[in-house]
Amino acid sequence: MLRVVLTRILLVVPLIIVVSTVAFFLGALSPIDPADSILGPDPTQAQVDAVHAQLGLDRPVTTQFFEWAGGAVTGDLGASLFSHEPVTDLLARALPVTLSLTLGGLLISLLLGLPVGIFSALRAGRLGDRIATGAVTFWQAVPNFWLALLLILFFAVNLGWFPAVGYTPISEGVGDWLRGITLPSLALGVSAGAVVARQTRSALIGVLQQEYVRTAMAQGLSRRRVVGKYALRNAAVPVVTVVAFEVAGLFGGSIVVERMFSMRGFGTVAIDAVLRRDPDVVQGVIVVAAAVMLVVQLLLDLSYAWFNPKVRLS
Amino acid sequence: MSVLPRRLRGRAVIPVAGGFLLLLILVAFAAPLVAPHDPTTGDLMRPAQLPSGQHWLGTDSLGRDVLSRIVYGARVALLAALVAVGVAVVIGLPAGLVLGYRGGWADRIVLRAAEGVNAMPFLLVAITFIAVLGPGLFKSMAVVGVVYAVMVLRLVRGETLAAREELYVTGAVVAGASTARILWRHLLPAVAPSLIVLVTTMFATSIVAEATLSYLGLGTQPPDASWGNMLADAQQTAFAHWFPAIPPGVAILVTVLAFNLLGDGLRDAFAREATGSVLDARPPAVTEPDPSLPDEPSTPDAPDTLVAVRGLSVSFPAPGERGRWVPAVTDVSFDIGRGEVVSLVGESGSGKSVTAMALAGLVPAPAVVEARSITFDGRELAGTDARTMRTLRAGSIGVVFQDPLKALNPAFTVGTQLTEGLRVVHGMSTQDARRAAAEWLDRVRIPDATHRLRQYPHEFSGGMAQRVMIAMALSAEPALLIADEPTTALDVTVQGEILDLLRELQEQTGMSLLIITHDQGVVADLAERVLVMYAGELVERGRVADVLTGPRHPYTAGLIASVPRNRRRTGPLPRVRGVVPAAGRWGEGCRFHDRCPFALPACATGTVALHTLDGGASRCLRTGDDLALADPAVWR
Repeated sequence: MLRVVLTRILLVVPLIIVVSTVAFFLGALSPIDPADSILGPDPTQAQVDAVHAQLGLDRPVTTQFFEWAGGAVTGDLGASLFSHEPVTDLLARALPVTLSLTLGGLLISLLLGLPVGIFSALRAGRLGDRIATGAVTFWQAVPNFWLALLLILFFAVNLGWFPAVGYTPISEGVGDWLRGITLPSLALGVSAGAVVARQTRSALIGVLQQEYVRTAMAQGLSRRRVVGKYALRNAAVPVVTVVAFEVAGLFGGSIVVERMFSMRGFGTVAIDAVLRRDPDVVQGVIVVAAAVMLVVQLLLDLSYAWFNPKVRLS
Repeated sequence: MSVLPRRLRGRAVIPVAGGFLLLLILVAFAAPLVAPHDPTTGDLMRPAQLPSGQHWLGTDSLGRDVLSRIVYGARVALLAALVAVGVAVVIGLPAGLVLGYRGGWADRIVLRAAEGVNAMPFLLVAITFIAVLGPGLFKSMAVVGVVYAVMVLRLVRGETLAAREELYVTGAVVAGASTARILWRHLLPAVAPSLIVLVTTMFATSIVAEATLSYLGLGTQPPDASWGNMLADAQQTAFAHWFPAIPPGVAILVTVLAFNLLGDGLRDAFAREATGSVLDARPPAVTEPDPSLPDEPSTPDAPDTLVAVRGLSVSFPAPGERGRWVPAVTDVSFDIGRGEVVSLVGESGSGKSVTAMALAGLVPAPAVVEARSITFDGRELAGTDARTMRTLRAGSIGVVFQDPLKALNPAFTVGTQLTEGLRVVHGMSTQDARRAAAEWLDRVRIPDATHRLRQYPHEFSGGMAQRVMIAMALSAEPALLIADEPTTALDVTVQGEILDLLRELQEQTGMSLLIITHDQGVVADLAERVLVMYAGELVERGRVADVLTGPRHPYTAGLIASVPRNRRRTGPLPRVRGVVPAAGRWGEGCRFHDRCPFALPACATGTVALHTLDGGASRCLRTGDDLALADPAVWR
């Protein structure tokens, strides 16, 4: 078991190297010239060249890459071309925002999706299932950024229960932090919850057809026990898989939702950097995001081993 | 695809959602004709108006007509979705087909890369590529399409891999068909259903992706209208004028909903989902005696009766036809004496298992189990509730199933599963339950019991797993053990051991045993009485010695004649010609008449009653006639 974990962790390293290399050279192909943003409209070629020399963009791409990679190994991800702030500082401020929203969204999606999915599966084909599945189909179709806007208008502007914009770091008060991320988490989690509900429903329906469920019933166990102790654990593997995709989706989705709530998270940083071409920042965002996702994948792979003992041996 | 109309019948959601989308496509196509105003030039004197006769959906902050922008936005949304899905299919479908069919190292590498791409936040991947290509609707959607292509590839590859093993594909390969022909003619149709469903839902996600990217300023550029940038505009002034935020959101919602509903409808049409489970198994209901049938003899045909079943029938809902029920078992009556071994025989599809499971209350819902009477140890079970059936299973009735490796839960140790009943139902402490479980493993002769308790089912061989099942069924010390073909799934070498074990334990405990089997050797060795079923009904019952030497129903005689024997013969092996008719297709008359060499014209009409005979019964019109039932010649 320990060896499986260690191999998995070691595999993460080459993956991050590949991702950052690809991202760097893709970025170098970008037609956007940061000199345009710095110099304003209609600069002369001499001005552009001067800016390029100052930023080091006149050197070969490979040289730039190895310089960046050399720094990255020591934890120096470079600095923004525009604010000159170190990328690590920039991301250290942005990551908690995005992670808070991702985790908040995940929590909402599970709180919403699991009970509804289980409810539906246990009544498969009957009226309760049809109503629940219909509701799930409906709420899956609600775009998260529109929901965010509606939530702001209703709960923040109209009722004033939550702040409409801005993020309060958890260090400045758990209550304010929670109030700040409640609406964006809801906006993110609702449609993700629909996916969780669907997957939970179909996985549990599949498990309930299995012969081992009949065996548990044959032992005289109660319905509650058969579902609660046995079937749910069997159904967990496909649900965990979909949750893995959901985490990536929520992380991406928070890019839009944080913009709705004027929070400076990963998305805002990423989009600004892309649109102005701020290579070190783009690079940093991608590498850190990839690292976060790979850690999530790793945790999920480990949870498979927990839910499915066969994995543990191979 | 010729099967589509039949499959789609009775699914209102497909025409409704499809019709709406068709209408939307028409409106989008005819946008310049349909839109009441110009979408990009507004009347700056009339900004942010609520709906009126002139502007049905009001105006935005620049005085532009919201309805017109929605109509033009539909055009953008659908075109964008078409680009993304088109790119996805053009790249993903051929790649997936080839990789799935050919396999090898290319497959492994591409699959790894695909998993990597799918694990990354979709928007971030899209933004990275948009950084290279620059913002713009069609460039952005092509990027989205590339990301989706990975999903198409994975799906198509998986389906191809499965279809490749199908007989009709391996047959085509053997027949020398070219790779292109196999991919196009054989594999593509196999992949099509799930691909159609994925593509439909992909249209929905593409529409959201377009709106998202345009909202972020990476897709449709102002002043062109897109549902996404309309929302971005509306947000600017939302605190003062909230209404413009509503129409674009509703447009996205309704369109996405329509695509998703269409996808769901198609998926349901291609693959019917199981709805009932054993969890909701219904207890037997009481039926009134059918006056058209002669009354069953109420005298029990076993000395000290434990179980007496009268007029048991089980029906399942007809697949795909609401309200129609198909009988699987009809009017079955038998007794099981205390300490008696009874075997239940018949071909596959004769209703043996259903009959036995009905006794234990384990026929999966929504099947209906009915009987005039089922008594167990003097208690009437017809008309009882699910709780009583559960109590019965917890103590008095044990069940051993056919395939022990499927019957044990793969996610829990054998120990957990063995002790569960003892702890939860019988209230033992964990230690006591583990000790009892270990003792039971000893009794079923599994060596090293305490260690084995900590192992998972996949660490057991089939024979060992069946011993675990037997231990589990017997640990509650039931009065009746139902063994449903307990050796069919096992290696021939261990079948005998399991049967010996069952016989031995039956003698030790004095329980009754109902053993379902195909194997007449088992009947002869183990059982005292035999019940023969055919097409959902009992056709003969009697003492084993009598039935094996002098069957009274032609079907029983046919079964006995078709056992291969170690003696010289010429010509084909004796057998019962034809197959068991499917449940509900039994037709008029004796259900066996069209396979019966002794059938008379009268056998094809009316119902045949069970004739009680000395020590048994037979359901045959010619019961009294002197027939050469055992002559192998009639069964060739």
